[in-house]
Amino acid sequence: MDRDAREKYWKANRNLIALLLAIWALVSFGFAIFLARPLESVTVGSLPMGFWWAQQGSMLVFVVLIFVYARRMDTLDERYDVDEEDSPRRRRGGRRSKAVRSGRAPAEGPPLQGSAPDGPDPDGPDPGGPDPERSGPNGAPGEAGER
Amino acid sequence: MSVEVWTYLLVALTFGAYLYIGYLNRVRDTGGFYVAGRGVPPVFNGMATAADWMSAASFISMAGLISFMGYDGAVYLMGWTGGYVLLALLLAPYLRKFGKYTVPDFVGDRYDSSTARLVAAVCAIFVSVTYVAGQMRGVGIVFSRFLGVDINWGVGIGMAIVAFFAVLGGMKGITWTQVAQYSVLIVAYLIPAVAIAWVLTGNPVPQLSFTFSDIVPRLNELQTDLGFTEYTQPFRDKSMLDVACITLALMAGTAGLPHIIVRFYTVPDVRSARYSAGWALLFIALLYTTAPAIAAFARYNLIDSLDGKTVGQIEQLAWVEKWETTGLLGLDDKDGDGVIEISPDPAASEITIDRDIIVLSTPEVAGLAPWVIALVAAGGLAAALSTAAGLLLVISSSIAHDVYARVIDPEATDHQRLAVGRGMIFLAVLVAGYFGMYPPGFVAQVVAFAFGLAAASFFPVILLGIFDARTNRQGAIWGMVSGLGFTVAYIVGNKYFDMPPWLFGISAEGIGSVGMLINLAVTVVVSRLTPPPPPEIRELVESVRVPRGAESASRSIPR
Repeated sequence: MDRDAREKYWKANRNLIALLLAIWALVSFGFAIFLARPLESVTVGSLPMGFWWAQQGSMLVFVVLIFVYARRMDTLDERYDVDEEDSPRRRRGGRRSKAVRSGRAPAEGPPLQGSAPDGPDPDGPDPGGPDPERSGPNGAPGEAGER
Repeated sequence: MSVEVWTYLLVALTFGAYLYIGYLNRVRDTGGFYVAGRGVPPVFNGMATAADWMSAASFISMAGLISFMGYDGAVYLMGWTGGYVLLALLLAPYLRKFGKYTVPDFVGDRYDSSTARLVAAVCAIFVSVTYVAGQMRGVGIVFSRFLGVDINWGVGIGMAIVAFFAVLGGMKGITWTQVAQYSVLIVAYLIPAVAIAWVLTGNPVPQLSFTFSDIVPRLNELQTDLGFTEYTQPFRDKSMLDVACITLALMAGTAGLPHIIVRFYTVPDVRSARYSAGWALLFIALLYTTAPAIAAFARYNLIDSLDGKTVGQIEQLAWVEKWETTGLLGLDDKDGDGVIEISPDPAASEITIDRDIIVLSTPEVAGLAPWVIALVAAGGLAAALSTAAGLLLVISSSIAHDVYARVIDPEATDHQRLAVGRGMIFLAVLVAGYFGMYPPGFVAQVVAFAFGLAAASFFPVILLGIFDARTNRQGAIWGMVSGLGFTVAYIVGNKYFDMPPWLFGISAEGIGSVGMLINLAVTVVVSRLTPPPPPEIRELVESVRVPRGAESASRSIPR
C-alpha cells in the first residue's frame, strides 16, 4: 500500500468521524441545550422535546453512533487493505487471504507499518493459530489465551 | 428473613465470588498485570469498562441529584456518556494500536520526552487518588447504612477485598471481577426501577414509562402548585452557556480519564477496541437512561405521598419511619397545623430529603421484598469496589511502570517490575483506605478538578498526538502548561479564594472545556512556530493510524 492510498484511508476515516461528531454535537449541544427552549413546545410522548433529548434521546444516539463507526470502519479497513491479519475476531478471513495470496499486497511494496521491522507478514499466521506476538512486549506468550 | 440477614447473605456471596474470580485470574507477568494479557473480548471489556466507570456516586447519588436538579441534571447524563463517543472515534482505536501499558507511555513516546511522561504520570496519579478516596468512603457508607457497621470497618473490609484480587491478579483479576460486579450492579439497579415504573404507571420499562406515561406532566403540575418551577424547565439554576460548558468538560474529561483509557489496551486488537467502546456505552446507558426515570418517579411519589397529608396519615407509611431514623428524611410540622407541607423555601418546608434516599428507598416505596433491598446494598458495593480497583491499577502503573520501570530503572527484569507493580497497588490500597477513613474536606470539590484536569491535559494532548502529525514536543508541553495552568487557577480561585466566575459566568465545573480549547490552540500554534517532530515520531503517528500490525507499532521507534 502506497502513501497515496494511506492518505485516502485516513481522509475517509476523518470524514466519517466529522460526520458522526456533527450528529453527536447536534443531538447533545443542539437539541438538548441550545435549542431546549424553542423545542419545549414540541413533545416526545408526554415530555417536552428538549428535555427528552437531554435525558434520554442523546444517550441512545451516542450508543448508535459508536456502533455505526465500528461497522463503517470494518468496511474501510477492508477496502484499503489495512485490517488486522491476525485478528481472532476477523469475520471475512477467507476472502482477505485470497486477495493477499493473489499477490496484490506484496506487489504494492512494503506493508503499511513499514517502519516496523518485525511487523506481521502479509501472508500472516493462521488466524486461529497461536501468535507469540500477541502477549505484549514483555509478556510470556499466551497468558491471555489460557483462561 | 429480615432485610439485614438478606444483606449479610448477599454481600458475603458476592464478595466470595469476587475473591474466587480474583484467585482464578492471578498473573505471573507484567503483560497480564497491566493489560490483562490483551486477551479480553470486546463485550466483556465493555462490561468491565461500565463497572469501572460507574462509581458509588453514579449508583447511589446520581438519580437523587437529577431528581433535585430536574432538566439541569442532564449535564451528568450527557457529559458522562457523550465522552465515550469521543473516546471511541478519536482515541481508543489508535491508543490500542500504539500498544504499551499506560497513558503516560503514549505521551512520553509520542513527544519523546521524559518530562512529558512524568507530568502525565503525576496528573494520572492526582486524578485517580482524588477519585478513589470517594470510592472507599462509599464502601464504608453502604456498610454503615445497610448493616449498621461502623464506617471505618466497612472501609477496612473493602480494602481487604480489593487488595486481594488487585495485588494477585492486577488488570486481569480486576477485569474479570468487574464483569461480575457489573452484572450485580445492573440487576440491583434495574429490579427496583422496573418495579416502581410498574407500580406508578403500569408500564414495566422505565425508559418508556418515563417518556409516555403522564407522570412527568403530573409532576410538573405538582411542582407548579407548590411554587417550584416545572421539573422539565431548562436552565433553572445554571445559564445555557454554563450547562454547555459543564457538559463538554465532563465529556472531554471522561474521554481523558486514565482508568477508562487503559481498559482499551486490554482488548486483542484495534477492531475490538472500537466495538468494545460501543458495548461499554450500551451497558452504561442501560443505567444512565434508567436513572432519570427513577429520579422523576421517586420525586413524584415522595411529594404525592407526603405533601398535604396529616401527621397521622404519614406515620402509617412504614418506609417513612425507617428513613426518618437514618436522618435521610426529615419531617417537622413547623406551623403546628398537623399537616406536612413541602415548599421551595427551606425555612418553611416541613420535609427535608437527602438526595441519596431516591435510589435507596425505591424498593421499599415500591413495596418490594427484603432481598431486593439487600441486592441494592450489594449493587452499591459492587459499583464502589469496581471503580476503586480500576483507579488503584492506574495509580500503581503510573508509579511502578511510568516512573520506576521507564525512568528510574529501565534495566529492571520483568520479575522485578511485577513485584514493584504489586507492591505499589498494595500501597495505593492503603492510601485510598486512609482517605476513606479520614476523608479530606476537599474531596467533593476536587471532582471538578479531576474532570477539568483530564479535559485540559490528557484529552487534547492525545488527540493532537494522533490527528496532527505536526504537533511536536514544544507544542504539547506549552499546551499542557497553559491549559492546565488556566484551569487550575480558575478552579482554585473560584473554590478557595472567592473569585467570582468572571468568564461569562462559567462555573468551576465547566471551566475545563475552556482550558481544553486553550490547550488545543496553544499546542497547534507553538508546534508550527517550532521545528517539526523528527521522522521516527512521524512514523509512529503514521503507524497508529492504521489497524494492521497492532502490537508491533510501538516497537518501531527506538527508545
